[in-house]
Amino acid sequence: MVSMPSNSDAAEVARAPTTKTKALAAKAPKVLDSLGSWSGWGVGAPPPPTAQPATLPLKGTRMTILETHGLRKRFGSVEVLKGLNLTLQPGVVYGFLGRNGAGKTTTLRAVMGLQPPDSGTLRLFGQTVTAPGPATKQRIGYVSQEQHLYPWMSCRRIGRFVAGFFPDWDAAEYARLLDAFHLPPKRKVGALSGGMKAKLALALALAHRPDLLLLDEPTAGLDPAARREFVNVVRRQADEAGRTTLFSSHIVEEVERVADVVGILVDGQLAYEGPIPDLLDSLVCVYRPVGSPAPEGFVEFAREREAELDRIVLRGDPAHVAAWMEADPPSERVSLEDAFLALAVGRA
Amino acid sequence: MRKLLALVLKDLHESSIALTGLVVLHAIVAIFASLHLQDAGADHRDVILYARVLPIVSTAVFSHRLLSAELTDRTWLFLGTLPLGKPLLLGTKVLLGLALVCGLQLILAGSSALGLAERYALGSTDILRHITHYLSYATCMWGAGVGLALVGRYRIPLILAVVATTISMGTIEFKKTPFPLLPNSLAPDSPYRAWGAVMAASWFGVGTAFAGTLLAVRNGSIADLVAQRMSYREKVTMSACLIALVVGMIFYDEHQPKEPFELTGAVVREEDGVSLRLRPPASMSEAEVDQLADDLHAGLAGLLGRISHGPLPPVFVTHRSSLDATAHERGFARDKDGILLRTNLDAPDWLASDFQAWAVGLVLREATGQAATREDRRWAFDGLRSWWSLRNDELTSEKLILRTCYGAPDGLTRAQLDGWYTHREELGPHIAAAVGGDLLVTVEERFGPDVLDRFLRATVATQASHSFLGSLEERGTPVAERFEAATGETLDAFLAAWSERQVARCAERADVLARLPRLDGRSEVEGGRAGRRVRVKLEGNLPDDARVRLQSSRDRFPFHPFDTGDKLDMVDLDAEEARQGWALERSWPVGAMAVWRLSTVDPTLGCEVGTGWRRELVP
Repeated sequence: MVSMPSNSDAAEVARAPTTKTKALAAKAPKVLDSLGSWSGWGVGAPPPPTAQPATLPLKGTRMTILETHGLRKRFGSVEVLKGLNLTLQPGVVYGFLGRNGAGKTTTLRAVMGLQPPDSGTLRLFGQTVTAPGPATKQRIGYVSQEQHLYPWMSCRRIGRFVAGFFPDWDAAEYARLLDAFHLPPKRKVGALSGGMKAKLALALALAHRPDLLLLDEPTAGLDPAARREFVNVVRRQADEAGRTTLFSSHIVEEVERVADVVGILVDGQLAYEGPIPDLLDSLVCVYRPVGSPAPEGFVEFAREREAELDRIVLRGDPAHVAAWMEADPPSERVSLEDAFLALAVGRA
Repeated sequence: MRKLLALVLKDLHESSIALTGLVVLHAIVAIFASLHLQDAGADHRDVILYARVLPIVSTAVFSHRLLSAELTDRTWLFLGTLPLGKPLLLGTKVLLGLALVCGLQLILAGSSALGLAERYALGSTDILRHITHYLSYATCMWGAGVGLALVGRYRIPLILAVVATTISMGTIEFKKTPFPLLPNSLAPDSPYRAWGAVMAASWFGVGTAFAGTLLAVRNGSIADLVAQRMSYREKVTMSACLIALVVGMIFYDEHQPKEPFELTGAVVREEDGVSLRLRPPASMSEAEVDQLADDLHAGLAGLLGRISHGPLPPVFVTHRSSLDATAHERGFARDKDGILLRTNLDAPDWLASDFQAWAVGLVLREATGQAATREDRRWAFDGLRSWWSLRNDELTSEKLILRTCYGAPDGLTRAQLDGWYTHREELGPHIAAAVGGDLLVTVEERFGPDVLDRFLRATVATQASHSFLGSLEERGTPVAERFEAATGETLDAFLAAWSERQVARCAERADVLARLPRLDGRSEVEGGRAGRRVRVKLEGNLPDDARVRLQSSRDRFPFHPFDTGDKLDMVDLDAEEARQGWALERSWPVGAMAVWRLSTVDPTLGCEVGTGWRRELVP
């Protein structure tokens, strides 16, 4: 038996952020209790939508916040979404992973009503909608990949402007967020850096205390420090305010840092949806002579030649994975990045 | 409501600099307009120009600021994430823009109403109508602006292309545009244009619907796409297209062929490039009809031969019993080719020569695309009509000389020739035609028929060019230069010689000329400020048995060289009645323009002589 320190490293990577680990420890079991069943591997059709309630559910209820069923969207000859099924439960930070062009932005824009889907069902706060109306939008905070804010407005003025559209706008909270994000209230939007604009957009999205926060690759183009800071804010909001968040990104590290649940979008469909530990517990990386078949009881997920051996990512029952690792110490735990690459690119 | 207020306040703040600038501009123009309109001697054209142009400026500014820029700067995407429906968003912006454009126009409307109120006795209804016209016009402009705003980067090329094509092809009649809502005169007697409100609603509705459709189609992706700035390649392509359009316009010189007008039961003469169809009244015998058709055809064909003009458009002559013997009428056959002439062939004092002179002029004018009647050559055109129709009539020739002596006893100056329209108004059409005809006769006498023909070909027989370059070239060659090229003598030298001979000729006929009447007249204003009457009185040496015709109008230019004077009020008076004075029809507001003329037919001259047209502002 050869000790495999890399196994524990991988496990550490998967659960690296200490603040988040604590939060997850407290939150994840509760979330999982309430959900009962993640879609998990081989995402199938979610349960059919329930009857539409007569009125919008009140804040604080624990029904599904967002569900999509068979969402399709085509741009010319390219079908970007091919029957997307996605479920977002209250209080969860959902990391929406996918390569560039996988359809993450299209999904979020469809949810926001900016680009209605061609077909499929969209349920928001328990209500089936084709596109969210003004009343629904008042419960959503949205930060897009690029910030198209009015450059002539100051941070304070744009807050006053946006406040006019949200009855629940909390001016004190907005001021607090500006302060927390080190955004000078009098500074013009046009004079802010990309990172500052993203934080301003997040402040605008949070100040009306939304039930759902949609973040569409908000950290794209930010430097690592700004990205880290942004992600921390989102995580803190989730921990402190129980904010349900759909966080799309192609950067695995930040999703891992922030998300309770991950959905991996591949070719217009979810290849996996569920808690990150469940994903990682069901995967194992083994080394075998070149061309050897996958061990029995596993599904080969990805294979890559490394020196004289094939590095193979296998999927199997978590208990079976654990037993295999006991018996075959060279086997490795898989990081989220490895899992994402295996799913999205087929690279081991 | 809170959302709308937030949006409106944002838009107002965003447009505040432009709005302030426009308010200042409008205020300055408003002050000018108000002062200008109070001046009794001023016309309204400048004020109208500003009232027409400034809403276009306001529309351009606000349609860009409120609509186009939101898409170009992609802030529309940010607005889309806010809890506000797209229809409400667009509606708010469109109505805000309408309020701003109309509000600014209201400054002009109000100030001009104040100015007009000082000058005229305006009632509240007059002011309301005046303001309605202003606002209807502004609404039309804003409607167009909204429609074009979301065409994005193609809006300016599109506007340029539409304007250029419209001007070039003449596809849109001026009266079908919103511009007549603000006519050249703001006098309160101008009619209320009820269609203006309908037009304003239509333009606004269509513009808004178009913008809404663009935002709705494919969830606004088309509007979003065209809103982005042009790429370098696109700029080059677009510039090339515009240049091609302009070049096409410059060289475009082709009439669309039309089907000829059909005249059933007409006598036909089709020879020598002249196609004539004459439909006579039942009272005319076949021989009379044939003779008339032959004469008319020979007149046109002979002229055509001399001036070497290409084939004339088909000419159709019909009888209309309601016309006076000397009042011939031009008819129009929509979308048909040909010149339709109407005359009263049954009238007892109808003269073939008179009709032929009129017909020759009209046909030549149409055949040359109206180039023959440009002011600098109008004397030759008038002369041609007279000279051609009466060229073989020796008796009439003496009358023509008398007419020239009556009209130009001391000869002519270049200034009179160059400003012939003004001089013609003073002389009256018959005397002017006689003077012009005598100038042509003199050319023929001094230089020969070929030289005269050459000169006529170079002036009144020159086809108006439809192309830009051709038009420039044509207008760049003065008639004096053409005269010199044809005759070898300068126009000034020729005029001096003619004037010298004219003085001598007139001296020989001094006795006769001394007996000819010289009409003069003056107007008096009666009544109060609200309802003034203009009374015109005859002055001068007119015999008691003479009949005097008083023509009047409120239009500054009420007559057209070939119309029947429909816009003129006309009354025939005894000489005594005319001396006593005759009150013109209708009441005349202060500042209105009274246009009138007194005339009589003199038997010696065999034509009408008069006072010339008088234009007087009602004090």
